[in-house]
Amino acid sequence: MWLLFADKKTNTNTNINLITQEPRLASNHAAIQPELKQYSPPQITPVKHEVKVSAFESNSPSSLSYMTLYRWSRAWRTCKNIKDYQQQDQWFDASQYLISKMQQNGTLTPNLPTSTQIEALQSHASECLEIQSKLAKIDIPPSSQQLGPVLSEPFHTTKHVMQLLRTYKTTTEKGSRLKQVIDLSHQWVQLFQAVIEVSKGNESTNEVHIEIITDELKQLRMKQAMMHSKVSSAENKEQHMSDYMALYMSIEKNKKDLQDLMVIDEAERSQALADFSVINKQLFEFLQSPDPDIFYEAHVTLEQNNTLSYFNFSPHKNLGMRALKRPFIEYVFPEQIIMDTLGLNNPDWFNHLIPYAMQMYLCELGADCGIDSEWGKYHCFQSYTGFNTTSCELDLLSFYQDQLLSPNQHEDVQTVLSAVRDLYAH
Amino acid sequence: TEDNAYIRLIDQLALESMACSFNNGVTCQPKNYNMLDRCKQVPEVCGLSFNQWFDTYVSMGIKADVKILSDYYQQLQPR
Repeated sequence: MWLLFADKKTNTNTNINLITQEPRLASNHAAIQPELKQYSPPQITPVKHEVKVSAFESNSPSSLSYMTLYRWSRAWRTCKNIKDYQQQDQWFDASQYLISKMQQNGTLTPNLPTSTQIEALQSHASECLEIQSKLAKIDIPPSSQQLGPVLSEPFHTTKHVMQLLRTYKTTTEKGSRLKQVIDLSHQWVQLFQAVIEVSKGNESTNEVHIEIITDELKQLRMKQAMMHSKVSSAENKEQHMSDYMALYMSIEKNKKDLQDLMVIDEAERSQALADFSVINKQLFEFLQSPDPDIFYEAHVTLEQNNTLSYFNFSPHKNLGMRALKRPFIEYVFPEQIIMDTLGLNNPDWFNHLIPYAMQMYLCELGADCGIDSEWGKYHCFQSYTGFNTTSCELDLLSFYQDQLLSPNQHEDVQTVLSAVRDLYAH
Repeated sequence: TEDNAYIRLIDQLALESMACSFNNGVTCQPKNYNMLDRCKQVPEVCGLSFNQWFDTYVSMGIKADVKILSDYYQQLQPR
C-alpha cells in the first residue's frame, strides 16, 4: 500500500543487501529498516566546485592535488559526448549541434536553441577537450598500469582517470576517504562481475549437446536474416509473417534449451557471493557519509544504472535475468531498499521520482547544485528526453520546484526524499 | 510539469482510467494487456483490476495529476 509513511514495515534485520537464495519477487529479502529520526534539514551551503581547468597553472603530477584530479574526473564524467565535440579541422558548433538534437527529438521551435544554451554547451565542450588533453599528459606509474583492451573515448580517458585516482597520493583526510571509496568501488565492480560470470553456468557437463544446439541456432539465425530481408521487401508481408514467427519461436526455444544445459558450479557461486558480500557491505556503509562526493561515488557504483546520472530506476537492469542461467537476484539495489522501505510496488512511477529525490539529497549534503552543476547542464543541453532552457538559468532545486516538476510530482518527490534521509542522513 | 516522461505516464494512466467507463470496463480487467504487463513486473498486482491497482499502488501526487488530466479530457468530449 502507498501510504504517507503510516505503515512502515518493522524489520529488525539490518543486514544491508542480504544475500539470500530466495527470489526477490517473493519479497523475502531483507531491507534496511531505518530508524525514524527527528530530521532538521541542514542549512544548505552549496560547495561551488571550481572545475575550470584554465584556473590551474600546471598539470604536472607534483603540483596537482588529489582533489583537483577528482574534480577533473567528475567534470570528465559529464563529457559523454566528447566524440561529438571533437570535430576534425573544425571548431565545434554548439548551435548546429543543438538544432540537430532538437530536430531528432522533435522539440525544435523557432526560438530555440537560446543563446544561453549555446554558450553553456560551447563552454562545456571546450572544458571537456581541455580536461581530456590535461589528463592524457599524466602518466600512471608502470607498476600500477592495468592491461586491457584499447577503448574508444570517453571510456579510454574515464579508465585512465579512475586508475589515476586509485594510485595518486593524497595527504588530506577527505582525499583519503575518497580514495578509499573509489578503490572499494573498483573491487566491487570486479566482484559483481565475478558473480555474473559464474551465474552464466558452464558448458563442461553438456558440451557435446550444447555444441549441436549452438550450431542449429547459427543456422536458424542465418535463415532468419534471409527471411527478414525477404519479408521487408515483400508486398504482402502478412503471408510471410507466420513463417517468420515460427522461425522466431524456434530460435527462442533453442536459446532456452542452451540455457537449460548450462550448469552452475554451486561451490564456485557461493564463494563468489561470499567474496562480493564482504565488499558490498563495506561500500554500502559509505552511503551514510555526509560528504556529497563520497556518497556519490558509493551510490553510483551500487546503483549500477546511473540513477544519479539521469537514467531511470530499472530493476534487474544489469542482473541479466535473461542472459544468466541463474539471475543475480540476491543483490538488492539501494533504490530497491527505498522502495521496500516505502512499501511500494510500482517501479513504473518510482522511476519518475527517485532520480530527483537522490539529486535533491546530494544538494542537501552540499553538492554543487547551481546553474553550472552537472545536473543543471544535463537539463540545459544533454537530456535524452528534451532540453529545458530554464535550467540553464536557475539553480537545480528552483528548477525542479518551479519549472520541471508538477506541484503534485514535487510533493511525491519530497516523500521519497524523506525516506532517503531516514535511510542515510545522520 | 515539463518532465516529458512523467507527462506520458500521467497521460497513459488518465486514458486507462477513462477507458474503464466504456465497453463494460473490459480494458480495465485483470487480464487486460496493461494489467498483465504490470503483473509480470510485480506479481503482487496479479489479479487486480486497473481501478484496484490504481487505488492501492499509485502515489497521491500521481493520482492528483491523473485526475487533473482526466477532468480536462472529459471537458473535451462531445456532449
